[in-house]
Amino acid sequence: MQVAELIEKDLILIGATAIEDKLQEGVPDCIETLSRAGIKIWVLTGDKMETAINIAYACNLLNNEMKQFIISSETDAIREVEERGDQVEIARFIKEEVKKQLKKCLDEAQQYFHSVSGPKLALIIDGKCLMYALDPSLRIMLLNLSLNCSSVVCCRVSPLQKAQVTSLVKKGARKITLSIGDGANDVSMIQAAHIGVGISGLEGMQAVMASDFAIAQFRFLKDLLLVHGRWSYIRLCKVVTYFFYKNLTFTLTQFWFTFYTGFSGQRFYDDWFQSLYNVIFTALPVIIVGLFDKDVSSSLSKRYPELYKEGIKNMFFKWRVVAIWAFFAVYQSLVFYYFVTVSSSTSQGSSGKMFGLWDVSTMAFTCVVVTVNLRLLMICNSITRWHYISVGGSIVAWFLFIFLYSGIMTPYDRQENIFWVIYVLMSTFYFYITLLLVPVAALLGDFLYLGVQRWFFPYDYQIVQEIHKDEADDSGRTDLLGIDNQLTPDEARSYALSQLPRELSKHTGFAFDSPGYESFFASQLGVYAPQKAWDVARRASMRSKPKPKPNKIN
Amino acid sequence: MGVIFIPVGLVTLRASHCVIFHSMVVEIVDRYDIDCVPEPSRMDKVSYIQDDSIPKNCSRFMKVHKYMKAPIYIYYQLDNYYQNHRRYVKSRSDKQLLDGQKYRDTSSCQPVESNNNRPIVPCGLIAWSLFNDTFEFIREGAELKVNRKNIAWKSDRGHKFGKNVYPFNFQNGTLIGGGKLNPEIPLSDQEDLIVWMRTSALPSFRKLYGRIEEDLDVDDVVVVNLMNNYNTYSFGGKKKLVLSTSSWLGGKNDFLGHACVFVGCSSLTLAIIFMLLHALWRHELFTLEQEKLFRVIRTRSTYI
Repeated sequence: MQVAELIEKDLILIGATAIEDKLQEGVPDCIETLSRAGIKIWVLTGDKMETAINIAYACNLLNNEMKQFIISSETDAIREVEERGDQVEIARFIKEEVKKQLKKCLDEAQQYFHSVSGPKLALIIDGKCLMYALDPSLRIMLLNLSLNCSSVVCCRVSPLQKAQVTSLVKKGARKITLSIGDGANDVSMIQAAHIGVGISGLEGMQAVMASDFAIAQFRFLKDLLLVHGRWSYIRLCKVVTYFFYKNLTFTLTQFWFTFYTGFSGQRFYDDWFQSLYNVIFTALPVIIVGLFDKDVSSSLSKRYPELYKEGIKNMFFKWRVVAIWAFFAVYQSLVFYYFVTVSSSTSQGSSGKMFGLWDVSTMAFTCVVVTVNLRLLMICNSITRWHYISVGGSIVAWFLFIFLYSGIMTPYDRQENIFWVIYVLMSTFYFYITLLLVPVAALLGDFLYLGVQRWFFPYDYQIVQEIHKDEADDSGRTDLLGIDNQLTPDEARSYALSQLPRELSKHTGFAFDSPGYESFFASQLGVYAPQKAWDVARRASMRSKPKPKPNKIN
Repeated sequence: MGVIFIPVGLVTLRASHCVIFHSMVVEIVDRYDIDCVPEPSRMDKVSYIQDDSIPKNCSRFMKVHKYMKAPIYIYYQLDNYYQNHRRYVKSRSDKQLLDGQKYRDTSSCQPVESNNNRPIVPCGLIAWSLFNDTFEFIREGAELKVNRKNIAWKSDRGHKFGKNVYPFNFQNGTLIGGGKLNPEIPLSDQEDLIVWMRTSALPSFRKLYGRIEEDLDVDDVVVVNLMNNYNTYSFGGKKKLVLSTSSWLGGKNDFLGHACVFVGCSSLTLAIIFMLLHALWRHELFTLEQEKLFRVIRTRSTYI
């Protein structure tokens, strides 16, 4: 230091360089939307504390109304001990300090927690303290404190500590964790979390190679979670519960039969019916639903991020939901079995001839296939032509199969049970009336339940659907992808407004660049800058480097 | 909303049909298995029925309570008879019914596969337990002609039972299960056997015996001379004789009618209720403006 002071004398200042490390466009908006969706956001960065705090302010993670707990190793007391140089002493002292501070913060936090309308809490901790706080003895306190805070900022964190913090939350809090990062130093964190997202681009592809999902810009995380993640959850729940329901209905109809066979184990359906039920007659519609079902459109999903909370609360796959499906499966199987067998106890048709076992079971099976496919149409939120094709196609496939199967006698069949059964059945009026009556009777219960549930106890997405039901269905190609680069007029306006400095705060976020400030400073100088802050930033970043191509997330 | 109107349409359709077939079919049922056993043998019905030396004639009287239009179908109804038992249903060989003795792989017919090392045609328990009560009908001294042809499904007669297959070594064993078959008549013409071998779905079933081609007036008394051959006494089964007319929808079955009416009425009620709800009481939640709705959704989902 003294040598430098001796050299640097009588120099002429020529210029100054500065390195710009801009926040990506759309980051503050994305973070705000995600926190409205009920997702807690932590920042783990290697930058120093002031930088991290500035970034957090720029991202709307911190604001002045929050109560901030700062656990830092840059205090005077610690610096004193460090100057003394004794490593063991330093370690012990810092640990004590951290413990004290954690305890103090935790007590204060408990106070705020008990008062309902208290301010939000934020925790800021730096790497050195984190090293001691992750110690098994202090870990629980750290976890308790941080879970009560709505934002946590960790600065000066090493890659290993990033992974350790992520594991702490993953195992300690038993919550689903997602890590997103763009550099090689984020790789361990990405792999430690449940879901790792890598941002491809400026800092190379290491993060992308280690991650589960790769996106091109941070703001695409909003689409990934709120649109595709949510749709995925809903589709998965629907497919799984529907699958159980259709098999339960099919099997229970046979089950009631066993009571009437003297418990001998005679099968109700023919072998081929049973094998092909899940393969041909009911398979395709459920795949179509799993691929294409959308409860609300992508733009509405982003407009109402609170819809995401339904997924967090696991509303669509609770025991209650499964039990209701099971109840209706039992009810429907009873309808199928009893309607068909009781009405077959006398002759059908004016020829006076009686039906045998295989006629009755083919009739019941036809009803099951038709009803189960129609039930699928009732649970769809969005119906495309593929739904109609697959449902109609499955039913037609069943009829084609049974026409073929009962029309042919092959030398390979040992028992010709089903020979000519369907033609015999279809020659009676009974067949058509039953085919009309039984599915309606079976679906009556479901219809009533769905109607009552939608009317009196609607889910959030159903409310959103009802409000927007008159709007045109924007199913253009860009919407199917779910990624759009356009802001709605509301969003653009609120975003532009948020760029103006707030007089109340000493932290404006402008110590480090954020997109759009150019128009503000330009207007300060009296130079006219276009209103759309968005375009300015994009044009600015396009000048210096080529824009990375967005990856399709599907 | 369109979904609501579908039941409405269906209801009107069904209601009209249901009313029609309710009242036209007439049925007379007579249980005869207990009464046809003479008094002294009622203590031990099983040995009575198994004793071949006792003649099994029985006379029953059936009174017609409503005009019955020809053709009148004669059924025999068996209760507590499990034709749908797994071992029973399995015990037949459809290939042998078509090909006769040429077809050798009749292992599914065990234990009624062969007797004295000679194959049994038709093999299996189903054929072995052929129903063999016979009925004759006399009205006012004149015999009513019973048409016993064309009582089996045409597909069975034409394609499942061979025209060149004759009964062989049938019912020759020590245990007699039911009726005997005339070895001169090919299987495709043995309509009783064909009807019997179409196993029924439930333990209580009826099978077509024949047709009476004359009308029966009100208060006619039909005398039935039947041969009570078949043994249902060993297992507590019941035998009944049924005379029934038939409509375009079949025999007398109230269930379908009641079910129609019930489902029709409930769909109609549901349709009306939902229509009213929709038209009159628009749920206030669904008419909120956007800003208010934001708040509602947020408060609903505040607590995770």
